[in-house]
Amino acid sequence: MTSRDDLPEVTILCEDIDQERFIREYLICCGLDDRKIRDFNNPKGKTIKNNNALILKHYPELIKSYRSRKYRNIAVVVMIDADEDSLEERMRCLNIALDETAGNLNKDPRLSDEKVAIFVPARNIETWFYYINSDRSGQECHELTDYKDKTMTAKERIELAKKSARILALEICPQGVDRISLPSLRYACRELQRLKL
Amino acid sequence: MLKRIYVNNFRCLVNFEMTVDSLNLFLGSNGSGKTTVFEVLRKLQKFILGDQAFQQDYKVSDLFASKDLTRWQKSNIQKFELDIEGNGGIYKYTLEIEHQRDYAPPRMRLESLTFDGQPLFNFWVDPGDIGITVGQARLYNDDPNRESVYLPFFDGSRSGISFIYERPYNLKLTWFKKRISNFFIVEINPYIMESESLKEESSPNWDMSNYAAWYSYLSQESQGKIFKLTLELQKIIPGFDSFQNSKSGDVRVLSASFTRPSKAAYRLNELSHGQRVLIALYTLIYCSPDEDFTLCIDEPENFLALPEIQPWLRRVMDYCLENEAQAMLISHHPSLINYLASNSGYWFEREDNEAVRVRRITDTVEEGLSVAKLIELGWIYDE
Repeated sequence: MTSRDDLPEVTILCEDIDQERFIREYLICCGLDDRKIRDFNNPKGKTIKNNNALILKHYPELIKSYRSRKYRNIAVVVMIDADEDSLEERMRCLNIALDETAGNLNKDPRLSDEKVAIFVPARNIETWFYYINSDRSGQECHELTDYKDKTMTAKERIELAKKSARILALEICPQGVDRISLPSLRYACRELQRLKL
Repeated sequence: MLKRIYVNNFRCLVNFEMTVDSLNLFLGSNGSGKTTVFEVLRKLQKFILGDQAFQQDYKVSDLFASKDLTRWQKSNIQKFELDIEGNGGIYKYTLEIEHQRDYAPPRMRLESLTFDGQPLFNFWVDPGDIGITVGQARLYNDDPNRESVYLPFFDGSRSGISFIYERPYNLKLTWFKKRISNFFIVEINPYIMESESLKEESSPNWDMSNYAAWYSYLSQESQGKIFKLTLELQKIIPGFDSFQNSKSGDVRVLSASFTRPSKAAYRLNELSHGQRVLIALYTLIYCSPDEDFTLCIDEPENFLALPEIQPWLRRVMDYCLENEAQAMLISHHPSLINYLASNSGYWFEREDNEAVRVRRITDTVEEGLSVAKLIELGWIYDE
C-alpha cells in the first residue's frame, strides 16, 4: 500500500458534477487528500447535456501536458459516458483523439507507466449508481438501460454520487474486482490500478 | 433563502426585479449594478436590525440619501421589496422611502411585513386633521385570530420592525429579523483587516476590517467551528498551526502560529494579503450560522492564487447544498464564470447608462467557446 504522502495529485476530466463528485469521493476513500484532487473544469459549465465532445477535445491537450511533467507525482482520471455507444467505441474515440494512427489500429496510445485512468460508464454514470446501490438486493442492472432520474435535485444527485463511491471503494472493491458483474464498472476498477494508489 | 428582490428609484435600479436561487453568480460589465444590489441588501439589513455591535439604530436619513434617487427619475419615492422563504412560508418585506429633497429629512412612507400573506407589521402615513401627515403602525399577532396592537403616533424616521423584540406572540416577525441578521454581505479588503480587537463583534463588517473582533466572538460562541476552521487552514496555508488571540492591555491581538520552518507567530496584518483573504473566505464558510444563511461576496477571488479558487468554490457549493444556505457572488474571474455561469449565472446590463436589466445566462451550445470567453468577446448576448 502506498503511503499517504506518496499518493499522486489527481486531475479529473469528466462531463458533469455527478461524475466529478463520484470520482473525488472514491479517491478520498483511497486516502487522497481532497485538496490534491483537482477538477479540470468543464468550460461549458454543468448544464450542457452532451459533454462528450468536450472530453474528446481536452483529453489530448491534458495528456500532452501531463507527459511533459510526468516526473512529478501526478495522475489523470478521465470519465466519459458511453451513452448509446459501447465502451469499446468510446475508448477508440479517445485513443484516436490522442493518437490518430494508434487509435485507428485499435491500439491504446497510453504508455504502461502513465498514471492515466479512463472510466467509461455504460450506459452512463447513473447505471453505475443503480448497480452499486442494488448490488446486495440482487436486482438486475443493464448497461443499455437509462437509469437517470430527472426529478432528482442537485443535492440528491451529489449525495447519491458520494454514497455510491463510498460503497464501491469500501464494500465492493475489497471483495475483488472480478466479482463485479457490470462490465464497464469492472473495466474501470481495473483501470484504477494504473494510478498505483 | 432570499427568493426575490425588487428595487425602484435607487441609483441605477429602476423597477428592478430579480429572483435568485441557492447559488448565484452576478456577472456584467463595470457599472452594471451588481454591487448596488448588495448595497441595497446591506442598507435594508442595517435599517431593519440597526448596528448590533454598537447597539445603534439607524434613522432613515442615516441610510437613505436623496443623492441615491435615480438621477433621471422625477419621483421622490424609493421602493424596496424582499421575498424571503423560510420558517415554513414566504415573508414579504416592503419599504417605501419618501425623500423631501433639501426641505426635510427623508422618511418612511410604508413599511410592511407579511408571512404567507398574513400581516405581521404595518406602518403607513395618514393625512392628519390639519394637513400634517401622521405615521400609524400596527403590530399583528402570530395567530391571525387574535387582535392586533395599534401603535399611535409612530415615528416614521426609523424602522418600526427594528424596535420590536421577541415575545411569545410575535415569533414569526422575530424569526424574520434573525434571518435578516444571517445575511453576511462582504467585500474583503485585506489592507484594513486589523489584528487588534477591543471587543467581540457578532458579524463581519462589509470590508471585514473587524475580522479580529469577529474572531474573538466566534472563539467564545462557536469553538467547534473555529476548530474545524483551524484544521482546514492547516491544509491550505503551509506551516499554519493555529490562531492565538491574546490579551495585550485593553485589546486582544490576533496572531497566526506557524510551525514551519520554525515556530513563529505573526499578527494577522503581518500575513500576506492573499493569506488574509483565504482566512476570511474560509471563516465565512466554516463559522457562519448553521442554516438559513445568505453569503454575499463581492469578488471573492481578489488576491487569491489561481489554484485556491476551485477548492473554495467547491466548499461554498457543498455548504449551500448541505445546509440549505445561499450564496450570491460577484465575479469577473474565468474560473468562477466557467464553473457557475451556465447554471447559476445572472447577466447585468445597462444600455446607454439607463436602468439595470438582469437575465439568466443560458448558454446551451454544446461546443464553442467557454462562457468566460464569450463574455470577454462581448458575445454573451446578441443585442
